[in-house]
Amino acid sequence: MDALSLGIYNVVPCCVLWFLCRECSGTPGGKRKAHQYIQSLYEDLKADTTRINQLITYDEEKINALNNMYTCYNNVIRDMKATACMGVLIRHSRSNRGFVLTDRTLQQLANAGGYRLLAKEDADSIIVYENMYKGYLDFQTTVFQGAQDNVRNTLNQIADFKVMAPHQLTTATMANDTTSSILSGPLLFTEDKVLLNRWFNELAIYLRTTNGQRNSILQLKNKAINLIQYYKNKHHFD
Amino acid sequence: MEVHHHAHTEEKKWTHYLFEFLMLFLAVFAGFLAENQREHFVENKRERAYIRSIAEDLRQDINQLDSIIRTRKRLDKIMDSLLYLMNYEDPKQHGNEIYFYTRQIPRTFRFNTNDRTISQLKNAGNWRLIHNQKVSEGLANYDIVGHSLTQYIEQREESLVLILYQSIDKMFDNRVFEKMIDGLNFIKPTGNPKLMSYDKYDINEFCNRIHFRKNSNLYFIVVAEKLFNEANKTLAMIKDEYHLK
Repeated sequence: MDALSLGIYNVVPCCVLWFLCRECSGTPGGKRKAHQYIQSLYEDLKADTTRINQLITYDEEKINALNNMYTCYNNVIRDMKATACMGVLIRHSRSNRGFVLTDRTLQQLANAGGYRLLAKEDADSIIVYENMYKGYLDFQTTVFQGAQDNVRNTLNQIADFKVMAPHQLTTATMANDTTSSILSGPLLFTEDKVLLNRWFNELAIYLRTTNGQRNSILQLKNKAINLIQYYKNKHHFD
Repeated sequence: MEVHHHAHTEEKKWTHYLFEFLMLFLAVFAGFLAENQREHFVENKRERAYIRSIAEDLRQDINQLDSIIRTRKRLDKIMDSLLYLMNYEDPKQHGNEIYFYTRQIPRTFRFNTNDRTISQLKNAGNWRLIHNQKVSEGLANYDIVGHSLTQYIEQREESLVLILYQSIDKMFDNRVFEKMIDGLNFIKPTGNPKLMSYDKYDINEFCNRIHFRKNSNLYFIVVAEKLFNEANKTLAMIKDEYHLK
């Protein structure tokens, strides 16, 4: 065996072994990076789920309160001074809260080409989750916000500022909504029944869009929970 | 004549080749370990550079938030005063104050977060370099609160301001507004300028619109204060975990 052959016989297996070492240890270009992304996404999903739960509670309180609008309408249309029931409706239709996705990992996957590092089924499920969020966001910023603006604009025309404002001016955060629903007197500033009817119609649309938003965010939550479970089983996270 | 003979070469044993192979393998393996260590070293160095940059961003955010919160609290008082004059005093007697306050209300004092580092982390896929889990989650949380402030609240506030303009356009004289401009500030008009309408329905609607604008401002303050606290908390955590000055 000449020296050249011997060199080749030694160097080639060494190179192969070195390559295998790199693959097994998962250098930053490979499996380790993918695992880090998945772990980071797993944490993001857990954070998202907590915030989604708060939002669902907020929306469901709203839906329960607004479901009474028809009884209230019958009362008010009979007696334009019997507006006490409108306080609750105003409280639950004056503003809304949106959900912001934790995008720390999703942005990295999309912008830094991280998706290619993941297994196909992992990448596909993440893309589905992200698309569901985009659908929710689109609905929130267009249909829902439109319904919100309409209901508020008509309220500005029919409600007496001196009755509505003093009880409503409190800081309302998602976790701690202290807005009062008690009105200090008859709310209506005008006897215009057409305008009143319009407000209730807009409120009905607002209720429907709130339902739609709640369903959409519920689907997102279920998807997040499924993903958490999937990653937990697959990667043995805590 | 001198004749050179080839030296007699002894047949090598297979163990000798194995030994050569092992030596070569060890050399390559040592190279691999060294490369791995170097990567770790470089990553740690980059992590510290990112952390220092994030700390600087947070300091700037804290200063900016502090200033915005104070300005918005002042704006809240302005809206209070305006609503009082419109509802509990005779608006016809307070034209100069009503114009002065009204002109300031549409201004939205926005928060522009210094996200140069967080954007880099996201866009270059380098968030994974932040090995400290507590800091990484703290930053993600701060990012979320910041987004809810800049994405949702500011957008909604903008739509409330546009609605408020409908009342302003109807009730206020543009010539008076024009005389109030002093660079980027406004000066209180002299005399007692009149409104274009004193119709009670217009005034009521205007006040309701101010009311919602005031509420959105209050909500902004609440979230901005939360963000301010998050920024301080995250900065303190970073200083503590990474031993920064």
